[in-house]
Amino acid sequence: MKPSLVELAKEKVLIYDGAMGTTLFTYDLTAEDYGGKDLEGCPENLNKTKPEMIQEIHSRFFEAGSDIVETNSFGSSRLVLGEYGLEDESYDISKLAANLAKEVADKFTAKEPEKPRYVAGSIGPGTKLPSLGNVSFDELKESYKPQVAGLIDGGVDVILIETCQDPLQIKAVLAAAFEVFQDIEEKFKDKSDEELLAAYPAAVFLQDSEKRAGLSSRIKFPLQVQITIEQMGTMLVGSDAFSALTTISAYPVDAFGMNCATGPKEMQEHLQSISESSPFMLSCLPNAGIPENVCGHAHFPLKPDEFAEYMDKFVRKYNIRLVGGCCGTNYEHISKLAAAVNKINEEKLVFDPLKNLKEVEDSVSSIYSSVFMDMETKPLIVGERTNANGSKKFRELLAAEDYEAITELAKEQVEEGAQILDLCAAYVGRDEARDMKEIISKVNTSVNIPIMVDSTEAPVIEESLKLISGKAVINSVNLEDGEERVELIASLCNKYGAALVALTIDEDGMAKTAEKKVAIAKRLYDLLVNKHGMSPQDIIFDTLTFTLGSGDEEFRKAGIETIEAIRQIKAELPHVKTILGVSNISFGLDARLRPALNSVFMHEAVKAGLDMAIVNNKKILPMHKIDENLKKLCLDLVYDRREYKSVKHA
Amino acid sequence: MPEEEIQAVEQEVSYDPLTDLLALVEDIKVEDDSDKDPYENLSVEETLSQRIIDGNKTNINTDLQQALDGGHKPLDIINKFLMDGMKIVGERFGAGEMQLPFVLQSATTMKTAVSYLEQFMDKLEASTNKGTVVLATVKGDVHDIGKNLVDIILSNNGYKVHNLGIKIPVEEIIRAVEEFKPNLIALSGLLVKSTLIMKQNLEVLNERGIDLPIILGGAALTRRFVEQDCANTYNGYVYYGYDAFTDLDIMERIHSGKSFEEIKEEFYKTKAKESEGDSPYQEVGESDEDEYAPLLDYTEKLSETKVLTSSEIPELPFYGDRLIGPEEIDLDEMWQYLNLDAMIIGQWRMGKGKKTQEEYDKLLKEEIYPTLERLKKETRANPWLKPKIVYGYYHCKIDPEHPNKLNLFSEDKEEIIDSFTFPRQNSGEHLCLSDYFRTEDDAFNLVGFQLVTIGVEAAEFVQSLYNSGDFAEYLYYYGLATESTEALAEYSHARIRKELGYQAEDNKDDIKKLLRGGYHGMRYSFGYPACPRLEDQEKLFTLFKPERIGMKLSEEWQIHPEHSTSAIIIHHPDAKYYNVKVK
Repeated sequence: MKPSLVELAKEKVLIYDGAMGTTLFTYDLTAEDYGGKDLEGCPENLNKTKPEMIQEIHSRFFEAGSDIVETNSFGSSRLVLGEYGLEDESYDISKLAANLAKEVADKFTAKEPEKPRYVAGSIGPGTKLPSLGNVSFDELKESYKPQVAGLIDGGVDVILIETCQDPLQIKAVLAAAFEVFQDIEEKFKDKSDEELLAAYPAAVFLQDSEKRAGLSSRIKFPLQVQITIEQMGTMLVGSDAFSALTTISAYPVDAFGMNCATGPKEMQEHLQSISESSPFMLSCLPNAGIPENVCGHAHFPLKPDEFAEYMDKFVRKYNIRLVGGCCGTNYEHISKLAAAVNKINEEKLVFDPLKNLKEVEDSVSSIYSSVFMDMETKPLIVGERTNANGSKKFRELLAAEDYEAITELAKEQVEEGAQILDLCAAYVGRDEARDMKEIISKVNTSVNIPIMVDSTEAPVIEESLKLISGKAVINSVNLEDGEERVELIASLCNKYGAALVALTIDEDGMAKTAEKKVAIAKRLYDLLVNKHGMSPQDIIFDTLTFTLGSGDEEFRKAGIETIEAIRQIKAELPHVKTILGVSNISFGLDARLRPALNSVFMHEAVKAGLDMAIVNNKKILPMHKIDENLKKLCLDLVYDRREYKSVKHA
Repeated sequence: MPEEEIQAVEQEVSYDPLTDLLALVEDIKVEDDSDKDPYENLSVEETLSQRIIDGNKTNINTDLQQALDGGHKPLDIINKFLMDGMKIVGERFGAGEMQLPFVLQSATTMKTAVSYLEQFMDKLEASTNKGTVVLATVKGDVHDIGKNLVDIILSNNGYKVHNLGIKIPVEEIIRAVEEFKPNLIALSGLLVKSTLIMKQNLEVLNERGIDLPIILGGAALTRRFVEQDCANTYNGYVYYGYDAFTDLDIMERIHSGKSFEEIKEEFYKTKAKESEGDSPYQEVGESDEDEYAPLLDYTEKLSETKVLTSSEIPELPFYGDRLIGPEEIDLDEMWQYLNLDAMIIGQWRMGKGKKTQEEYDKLLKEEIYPTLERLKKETRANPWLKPKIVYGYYHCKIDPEHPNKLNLFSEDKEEIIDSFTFPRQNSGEHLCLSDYFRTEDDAFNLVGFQLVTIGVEAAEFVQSLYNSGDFAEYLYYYGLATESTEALAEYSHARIRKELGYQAEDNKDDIKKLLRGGYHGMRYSFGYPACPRLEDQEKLFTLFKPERIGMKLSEEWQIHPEHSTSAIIIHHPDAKYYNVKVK
């Protein structure tokens, strides 16, 4: 049996093929070739009408030196085929495309067992951008399911989600893929591993540590994601490479890279930014330069030698493991590329997946950019004014359904220094799911900071996640209703790639002492990380606090307990983050006192290890701006430094 | 304090920070917070100016009332504080730092403020205006928006504007001048042809003894043409309207008592550095009658045309015409062909200006694209545009006697049913549209035509926004209407290419390139250089009867409703755009 593609790529650089689309153009195809006038321009239908031609192209790329060819299935999703009235053939055409490529690959492998050949199931971006509301997440996911299933049933070695222009589209394909994996798992639930493997040689059995709640628990198939960075330096919807990587880093994929839009030269700066922190193997399949329009035809200026030269440099510099060509690259480009790569493989460059992972794993993202949650200057500010619990103005706007003004309010918070946007539409008597959908569909593209979905309702959370293009944070989960709920929310985080705020609340209610807070945090950690497969970097503990303003003896030590809990959690649970709704500490106090007390308390919490604060940043004062006497009183209140004198009774 | 001791001795709190804090409250100065006031550090006067600049009319009445309570007279508030803001808006707009939709938000804010203040003015004050302007788009020109901008800017800054509308004959302008006794006439036009009409109008005004100062504005004009040709023609003063704020600037100078000569000197001096040279629109603009008329019969150097004979004539999909109604046209499918640059930069005037790429990208992401999506969404929910197409194909052949003439034939190819004559370049490649129909062995060729409109409803809808005073929305929707018309033409043409079997050559992956002709064949609109004769559209109306989809042809051969366009479709693979000018 040939080694798995992912394992082999760790040992040597593997070579993809060149362009299918632009190669097809060289055949001067007629409407008849496509299967009639109505199908003209539908390359996927050529799998049916011209299978020998598709196989010839695969063969010639293998001959040129490719290890992997892509199936002719770029547009075989339901939605894209639907443009030709072929939507119901999505599964069949995808499977046929995989069969055709596999047949050729197997022939070559039989001939040259020392150079096994592979097939990547190509999944293109389709024609609609979910982030812009062109298509719903669910519709898109359903459109991809038969494509993924057909490709896997047809025997591909890796699912290649390529030419991605919108991170939300990637999420939809991944959601489709996870469901297909679960379907296969279900089909084989009474069968042995051997039987499953016989049917699906590319299936990978999961280790316990790889299992994630909400996703298939027995197998997965290799997944490779490639984004397309336009000449303007971002994906079509505006995401930069690093934020797309951040978004995808929350998912169990195997390789991440770039293809299309530009030649290698223009990809360099983005490769640099990805390669420095990607937890995945890196792939790179550029065009043969930026196409120029010559006499009405696209002309790709980069010659095979130049192309290979760039790629040689990139493989060495950025440790790329999967290389190939996109539009305009032909057999000769691949042949020159193979010559260069073969030389590199003789030098045995090893893949080092543990390089500089910290930043991307500790980040969350919006559609446009990512935010590092473990910065030097703490805390990270989570804007709290778009919250029905905290802001009267927000409640009024919600009641008036003025979603435009809510978006403005969100933008204002960015200007005021918020780095993550907390959104909470839970308001008695209103449809929370609908309000969240309305707000997020606007805020997702008009605010450039990551979104924190502040809701405890699983359906609201799920509908929200279907609209968010970046890596979001869910706020929150707790143990008040037991452990099942934790699994449910963790499943959503896993399925949609989100981080999670966990509150120190259990069946007994909100923890008041540091000891209890830490105990609950540990219990949640064990459930979320060890049982449900979440990454510790994505867990943010909220140790909660109570007001010091009431003077109530029971809560006099609330500040101390909260700060101590933060200190212990940071010391005992590596990689997790902490968060706090700071202004609770001063609830009920005169508005003139609150900013000073909030600021002093936050300052102390940060010293203990607080990473993020949910505050109105405008009302946080720097320590030096607070009057000394006022500061001292606040500190004394936080640490309960009351003084007593003894009065002796006679 | 250890607990055991508490029991042993009675404890009394000697220091409680909470108590001390509460005692301190009155001494703490904290800015009030609940909802931030972005103008909290400004005086009410400054706030009003800043609100105009920001286009922020929310609760402006409170600030206005405060200014009134503070002893300012309503007119002073308008002329000083609000106008101060407007001046800055004008400067920023002129310098390319502020984009048109934001300017319109400022204008709307101005309007809101003025209408609030009106109730506090006595009758005399309320009726006094700073000056009166008669405003019109000239005869033969349907372009509305530039003219309306002038109206918006002037009328929201205290001037009385008599906006006569579009396609206004000079007689009507004269009647309005006699009736309203304006301080100034402002004429607008986008077509190259309109510049000549303006000049003719000036001659008529001379004859009638009118010598009021005139501002001429519009994309096809150049400063040189206005300040030399027009100024020399007219007995009064002529100013070049660089943008809508020029009109305001000039009116302000008149209002301040400056003489027209002084204004001319100041104005020519201060503005002279801007807009030198020809308008960029001129090259691609519509053709000038005088320039091509002799070329209709020009047939020399035919041998120099390099057009290849059509070897492959596509099969006629059907003969005659077909109608496609709004129910068959999916808006999103049509909008695939939306030319974003033309809309954002051309219509919405949200070009990069002096912004850095980063700032502009941010604007695109945060303002412009979401606005477009919102407009589309609202349009889908409440379709104010009703796209309709008539198109079709005819057998055709070049006239054996006249190589510039294309004859259209009846279905049995026996009879000539109509013909079109196109001008031929007398330089360069000596091209003529008829050349693209050359065939071998005198075979018949085929030609396509299309007439498209987004319906009279679109203009009505856009007008209702204008009337409601929501100028930014007006601009956005007007732009979407105009570019949707172009997108519909592109959509229709794509359909024709599909029927002719050329769909595979469409540059589908790059819509920008597709819109620049990245497909097989070419489409030519009447009025543009290769087929400049607008009157040829009469023949189209006879052949296609587009009255069925609500289209009408005016005396000046302009199509109504405004958002309509017609074209000839040529399938020759080498067909391209070229200019026709007497060289």
